[in-house]
Amino acid sequence: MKPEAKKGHAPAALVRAVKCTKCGAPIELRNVQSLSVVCGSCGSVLDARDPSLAVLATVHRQNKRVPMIPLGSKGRLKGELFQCIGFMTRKTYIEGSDYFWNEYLLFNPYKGYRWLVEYQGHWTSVKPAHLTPEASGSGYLFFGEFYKHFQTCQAQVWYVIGEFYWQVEAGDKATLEDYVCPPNILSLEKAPGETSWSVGTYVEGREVWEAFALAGDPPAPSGIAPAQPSPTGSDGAKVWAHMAAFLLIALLIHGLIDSISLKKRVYMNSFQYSSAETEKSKVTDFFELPGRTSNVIVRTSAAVDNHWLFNAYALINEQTGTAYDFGREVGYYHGVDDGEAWSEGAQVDEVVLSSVPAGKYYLRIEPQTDLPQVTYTVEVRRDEPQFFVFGIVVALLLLPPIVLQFRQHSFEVRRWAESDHPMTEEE
Amino acid sequence: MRLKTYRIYGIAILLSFLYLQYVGWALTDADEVPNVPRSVRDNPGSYRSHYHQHYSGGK
Repeated sequence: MKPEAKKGHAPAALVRAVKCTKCGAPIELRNVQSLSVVCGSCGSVLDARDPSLAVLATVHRQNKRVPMIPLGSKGRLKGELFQCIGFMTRKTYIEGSDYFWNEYLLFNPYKGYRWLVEYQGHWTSVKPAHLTPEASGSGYLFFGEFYKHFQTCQAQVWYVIGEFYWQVEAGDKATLEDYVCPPNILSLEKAPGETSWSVGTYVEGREVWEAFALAGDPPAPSGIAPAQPSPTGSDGAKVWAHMAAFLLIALLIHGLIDSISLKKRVYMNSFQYSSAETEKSKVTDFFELPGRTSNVIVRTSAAVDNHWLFNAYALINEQTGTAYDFGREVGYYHGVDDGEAWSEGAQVDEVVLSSVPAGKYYLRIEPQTDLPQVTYTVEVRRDEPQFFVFGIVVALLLLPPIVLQFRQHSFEVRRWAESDHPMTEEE
Repeated sequence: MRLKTYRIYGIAILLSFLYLQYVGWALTDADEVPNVPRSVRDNPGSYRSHYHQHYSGGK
């Protein structure tokens, strides 16, 4: 059980070389405030305040662990210099499996104690919480932030080495309650007669490695840690707010373009097709496409009934000789199959031609049909804003926030899967 | 960072939207044929449309 640590007041620590009272192995004492020191060789717990290092407890150790941060090494974490003076591995037993994590005790004579907790390659920098969090619903309020209950478990010290500010030995048990508000975590540690709060912040392994100048690379994180910040960041709400603003602007742009658009019919006429005619191609009268470069809408209608009409069109600029070739079909079919009525196609077709410059134009029409004769009407309109473009813009603006939201939700589902309150995909 | 990226993305989308709506952009486009002779008006059958040969028609 870790009692609440007091802030250090001692001057810079001096290293004192001693020998284990039990086995004679060399031990270094770095912190005059330490109450106990655990021999790395035999695991005996010695009284660090007793000049003769009286044996407080003897432990039969089955396993050994090598701390990734060597005892005695110094590092600057978040700008503050600390020395690693103790290391322990703790474990908990959940649903038939043991889960292990490592805790490094850091000390600075002016800043006091810190813990670096490592679990599956995830690191958390923990310090004592000198204020007691305020209970609120399923969690606690701490400095205005709500910490939600994540997990409660029974922890046991499995391996320990170095100096501590309380008497610690392998086998020590405590109840741990974790509350998260990523990237922060509140932990309540309870043992008979004692409770202590600590508050931690998620730290990248790379940061720990750089702080303590450790060789190689930090172990790759596995899974998601309780306090791990979401990779999608905390921008979700802001991105949605921006999306709403962009949609409003898009609507204004659409309204603006709509207000300056001509939306004008520039030509309309009916033509008669007859298979008896030698020359079936026709040209229309000249018509003016006014205004700026904009779209042209060509509408073809024909009273075809279970027949089709296909017009090969050329919209020809009289001045430049540039033609815009396109083909359109009008076909309407209907009938009854197995007692069920059906229909397909329409007697009207419309096409929007993109970005046609202003000028004097005519249409050359070359009709084909399976009818001996048919009347068709051609209407040309100019400069009509297309709502589908607005639809595409809405879809493009919506896509990133939706993807972000989805990724954020998936991340939270994976985070809480390891907790006492797993989320379902539907939540 | 994501917010900044989305801000840039959104502004690019809106500017493109403004431009495309202004020039009357549409999904369907015609084949542009340059230098069509003026004689087509007097002899419409002389013009060879891109679509004349391709259509077989109907259902």
